[in-house]
Amino acid sequence: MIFVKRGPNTWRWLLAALLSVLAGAVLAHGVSESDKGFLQGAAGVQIVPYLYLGAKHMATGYDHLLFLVGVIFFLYRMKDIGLYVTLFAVGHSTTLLLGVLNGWHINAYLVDAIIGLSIVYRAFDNLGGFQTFLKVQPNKKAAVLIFGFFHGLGLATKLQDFSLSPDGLIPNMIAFNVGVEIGQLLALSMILIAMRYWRSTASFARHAVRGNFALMTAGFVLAGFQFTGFLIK
Amino acid sequence: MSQTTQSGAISAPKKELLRGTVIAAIVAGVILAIAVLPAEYGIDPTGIGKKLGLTAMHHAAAATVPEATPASASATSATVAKPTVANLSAPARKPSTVAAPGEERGITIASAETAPYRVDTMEIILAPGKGLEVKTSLAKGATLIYSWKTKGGEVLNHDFHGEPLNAKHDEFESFILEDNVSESRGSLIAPFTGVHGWYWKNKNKTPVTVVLNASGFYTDIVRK
Repeated sequence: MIFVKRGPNTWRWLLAALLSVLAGAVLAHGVSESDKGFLQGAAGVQIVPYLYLGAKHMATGYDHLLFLVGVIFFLYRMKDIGLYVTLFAVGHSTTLLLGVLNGWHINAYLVDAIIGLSIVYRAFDNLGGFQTFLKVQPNKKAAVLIFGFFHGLGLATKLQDFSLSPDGLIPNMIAFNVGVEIGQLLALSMILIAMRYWRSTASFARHAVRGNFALMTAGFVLAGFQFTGFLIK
Repeated sequence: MSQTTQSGAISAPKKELLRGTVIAAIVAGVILAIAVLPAEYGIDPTGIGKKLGLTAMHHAAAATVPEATPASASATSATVAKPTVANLSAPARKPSTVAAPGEERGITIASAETAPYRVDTMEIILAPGKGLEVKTSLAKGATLIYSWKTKGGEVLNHDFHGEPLNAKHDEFESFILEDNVSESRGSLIAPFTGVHGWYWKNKNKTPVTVVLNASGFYTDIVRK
């Protein structure tokens, strides 16, 4: 028996992919213009604003969210969810802090393209793609950690684009990082509620495969979008 | 039947997996080609982006100049008065604690003035059918605020204008032009050093008295 039902339901997949792209068009990735103005003007320690910006960045950063959806897609136990999300948080916090402290400026388009591919990777892995094609199963925990590093590089590069004032840099950066984790928890709880509901439906098994293909599509779109930006800018 | 494995994944059949991945890549390619690339970068390989009006989004975004500088910004290079144009995005300035986070202001002008502040009230009598001017001497960037009113509520034609020093005939600039008004109020940051003021034309058959209140950093006020 085959999961993917061919025929009339294919449009749902297209719709899901399209919606994710539209969401992408609406929420310009990164920090919005007005926040950018604030970040550039702000000097000194600004804990709460940076906390807020970090949380907002995560809660509205669709690429991070899509990756999270992919990560928890088939995780049922809270213990597993906690473990994987912690790995992701450790990964992106490490490179966020190191990147800002060392002034790493990695091309944001390239990093974002890799983040897009991380969604494709996870969706492919969710469907057992590596086992089916390569007869190997790459370590899932390591993959989440490594992609966490890339997500963190994206955060670091973006935060530095706003010419962070050296005055209060470390507390602000940590506040931003803590905000990112708060935003991630908030987003995660929403995603979990939606996933739980979806899993409880009889058709989940059928839709799960299609859902991962939709994730893959969105990941490809993000990667293509960012990689084109890298090529032409 | 696909299985949920212990590692938190399912195992889709090879054929399905291959097919789905290829379709995902193709769908992504199509979305990129007809929507994302035209809208974001103005790259439109198929021409569909243009038909959908998406390339216009890119052009509109590219055409948006973040800092529109109004004409009065030319006051920065004043010689006598020394106004400063304080724009939030100017990096050298301390950020405002009043502005909302990230607020983009059109322009903020605050200027320290060298000329003394003065306030004048004048009564001007306009003969029937005659015109008359009152002029102030203003340095470039200096401010003038005025309000005038006819005593009996009669209407006049009014031209608030300025001309540079040693202006040639016909060399002047009108700032506020009004016909058939009995009062007017306004302010000016002088765009150039010169004489700036009011011209009234009395088209009535009786004399009209204008009461003019002016204040600002002009050095002189004269009736012409």
